[in-house]
Amino acid sequence: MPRLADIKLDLAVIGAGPAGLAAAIRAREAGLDRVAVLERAERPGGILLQCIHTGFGLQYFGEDLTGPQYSHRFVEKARDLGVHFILDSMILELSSEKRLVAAGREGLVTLTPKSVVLAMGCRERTRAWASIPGSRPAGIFTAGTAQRLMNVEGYLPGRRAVILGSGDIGMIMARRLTLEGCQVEVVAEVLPYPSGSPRNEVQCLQDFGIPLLLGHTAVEVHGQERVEGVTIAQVDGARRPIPGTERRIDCDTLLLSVGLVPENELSTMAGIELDPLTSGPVVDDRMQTSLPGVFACGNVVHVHDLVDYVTWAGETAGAGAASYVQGGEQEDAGRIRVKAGENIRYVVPQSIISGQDVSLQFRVAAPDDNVDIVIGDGLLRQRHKRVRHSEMLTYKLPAASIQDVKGEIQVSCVKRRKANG
Amino acid sequence: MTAQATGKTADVLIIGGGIIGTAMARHLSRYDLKVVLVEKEPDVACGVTKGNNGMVHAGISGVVSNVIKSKTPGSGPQYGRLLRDRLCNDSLAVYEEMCRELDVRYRRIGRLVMARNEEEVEMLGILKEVCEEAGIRGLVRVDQDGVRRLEPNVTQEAIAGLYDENEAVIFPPELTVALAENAQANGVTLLTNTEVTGIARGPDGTVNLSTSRGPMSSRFVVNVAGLSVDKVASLAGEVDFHLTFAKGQILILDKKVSNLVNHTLCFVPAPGRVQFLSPTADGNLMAAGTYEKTYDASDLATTAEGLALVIGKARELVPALGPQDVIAGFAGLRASNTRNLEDYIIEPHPALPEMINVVICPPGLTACFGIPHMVAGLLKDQGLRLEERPDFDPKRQAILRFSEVSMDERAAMITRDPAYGRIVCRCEMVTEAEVVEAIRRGATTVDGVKRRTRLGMGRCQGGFDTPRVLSILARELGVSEKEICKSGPGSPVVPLRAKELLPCQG
Repeated sequence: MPRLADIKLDLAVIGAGPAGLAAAIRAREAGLDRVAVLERAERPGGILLQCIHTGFGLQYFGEDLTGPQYSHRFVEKARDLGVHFILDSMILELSSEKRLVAAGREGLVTLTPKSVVLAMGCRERTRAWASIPGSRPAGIFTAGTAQRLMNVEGYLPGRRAVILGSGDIGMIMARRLTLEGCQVEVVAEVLPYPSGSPRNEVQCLQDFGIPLLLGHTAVEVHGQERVEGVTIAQVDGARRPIPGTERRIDCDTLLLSVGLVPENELSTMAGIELDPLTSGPVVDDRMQTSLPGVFACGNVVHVHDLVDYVTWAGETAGAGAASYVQGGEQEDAGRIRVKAGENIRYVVPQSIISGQDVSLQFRVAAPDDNVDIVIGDGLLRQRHKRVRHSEMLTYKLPAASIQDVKGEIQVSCVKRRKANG
Repeated sequence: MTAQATGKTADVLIIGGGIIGTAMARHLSRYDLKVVLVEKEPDVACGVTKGNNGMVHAGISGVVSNVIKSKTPGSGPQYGRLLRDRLCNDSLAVYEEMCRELDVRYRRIGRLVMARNEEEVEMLGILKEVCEEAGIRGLVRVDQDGVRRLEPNVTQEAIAGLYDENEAVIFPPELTVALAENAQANGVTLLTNTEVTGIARGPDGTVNLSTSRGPMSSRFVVNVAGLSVDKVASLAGEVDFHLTFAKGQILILDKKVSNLVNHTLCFVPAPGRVQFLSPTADGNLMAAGTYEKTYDASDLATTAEGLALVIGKARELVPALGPQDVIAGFAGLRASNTRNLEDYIIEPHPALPEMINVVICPPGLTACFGIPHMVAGLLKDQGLRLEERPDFDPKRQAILRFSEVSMDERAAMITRDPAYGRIVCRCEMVTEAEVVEAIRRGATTVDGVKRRTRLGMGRCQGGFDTPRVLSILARELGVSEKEICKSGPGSPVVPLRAKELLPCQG
């Protein structure tokens, strides 16, 4: 068997979650011979392995699958296509020359692939981000860590929980804990509206009678050894706790579902440009980063709400990597910048260069009613009865419609004029 | 570490496994003595040591509190008058060398004291004079450009500074663990989870102690129980002091902003001005602090006001910093005693002279190598024979850190032990081999592993490593994950198996 280090890879994919798997598969399908996926866990599948609830694949497969089922299909396909998996291995270094050093049980491996796909996903925001004062006992978990402890390791984080943040993982964990016989006292959300999807609000909270307290935050953790309670309080418009509204809730567990951040330590190490709006790499419509031959997809670019879109993004990145390897570097002519305008938090991709149909993905900064999504100078204008920041919006622009665009496309969410009803 | 208390009488029993207690144990391990160290928590460094900011006051900061009192040099209390100053000085003379012996990081980072107005500039001059009178060397006045050269990111308001090359920082639990390991290697018995509940002189003249592990006896006792030193002292008879506490809140910042600050930074001292910003021994930035009186020795809760104050003050020093850079917040307690507000009490117990009470106040960490000498002297006065052991080995080796060595060394480490190839904590690059070694050296809890390896101390704060470290601890200790605690007993991380709460368990 040839030593790994001696294999001249066409593509190294970092991360065997849904984004990385799709990228590897598409790159193989597009004709790249030597494709490897590096994964720090012992099994491929990424975070999907701990997502034992359903709701995956409705868009991509037209089927309602669990996380492990969804990932299994891609793992099987990748294996069938001869994608090489390097598991239980962590990348220690990524250089701007696309040189990778990975540590695994067999030793250090240095790889110099012709192309790289970044698919490291994201990590959870912590207590410090939510700046929750109080003591530091056992029993405080991010929702995803608790999810892994329950669904993969087979342990419960506690008996009575307060969940801070109404992100999707938080709501799914509220249901999961309830099904396990734990008492979920409340889900508190600092914003005046839920952070996760309306579907999860209904299926995970309302169906189980779990109270959702909007406009509330945790102001103190109690307990010396293990959590004994959490004090929550109502917040004002500036998200500051309102004195006098504090209420202590006895519990032994505090779960935090206060947001996800793309994980870009390696991207930063390689000198790849990040977008402060997404915290992910700036990419063009082929998902190529500022470093030629390095592509990025999935939650490492921006946090998605449906895995199906992650898979599609992975396919785009895999195709991009294949065409980069097969055709060499492409001209950067006619690059169109894509900008976030009024009430838009961010838009991905940040530029368009391929001359093909392009999908723009974006989120509004704040929820609103009766608005128009406006793209470019008359490219597209669509009415929305309601837009939510929890929902990623996707619009496809046909190649023909943008071929004459010069410079810049701005995406905005503007209030509809009431005059003509 | 879990050796049972033997029936044999110890020569010296030390109560308290903080930095002073372990330094005491390590010092006495030089002599031909049977020494037992008891600690009520499951690990050393669980009390005041854990919440300490790690500053070794080797320069200006050691003199500062006296300067505030004496607006002009020559008036007010002189540096060196206090027992505290003397023991700090004794300790500082050997500090760096001791850290080298124990393979503990001692980072000499230097301190820059900054002035924002003419009055403060004048204070810099006074400060320099007083510190030089106190014997501190290496102080340099710098102008505005000098300040910017040393610290390009500090506030524009800083118009002058005083640079002190002496200031240093350590990670207090690291030194404490090292002292405990070296003491044990030299024959000291460390008993954790052992709380002393009674102290009395027995009929044969030895001191009898009741503990949560059963009765013990010792010819001499050293009470270095930190936050409980007054309570432990009163077990042996009435004393004329008790402790009061002042809480200090501290924030740790993400390593991605570490390049913004090179030295410990503060403004000129003023009453109540306790804030500073500093690199830590591990390369993060630390923003401290608050000074909040409390009567509760267990009050380590952070507060919204405290955290906001600390980050606000850090921003006054370096405006580019903000709340978004914070990865962890915690609180520590400073203790002082009611008899001698500004100074230590180190003396035989009035009712039981075989027991030496060691009551300290800040700076305590700085004096950790000075105090044991003095206490050993007092024990000698009480009749303890101090005979040096020829086989005393002062050297201790730290756990090899995968993250701190070259790629070639890493490759060699994995070849030697494949567990180095498994990264358990991705933010701090801690490997399974290091976790296993920490457990082998005495860690039994998640926090115990954390303070020996840095596991979980990065920006994800344990989100990734928690499930992994639980399973390694359970495997190595031969217990269920359910029994693994974060810190003390009663802090299980995952108290139940899945399905355990459901009614139909077959």
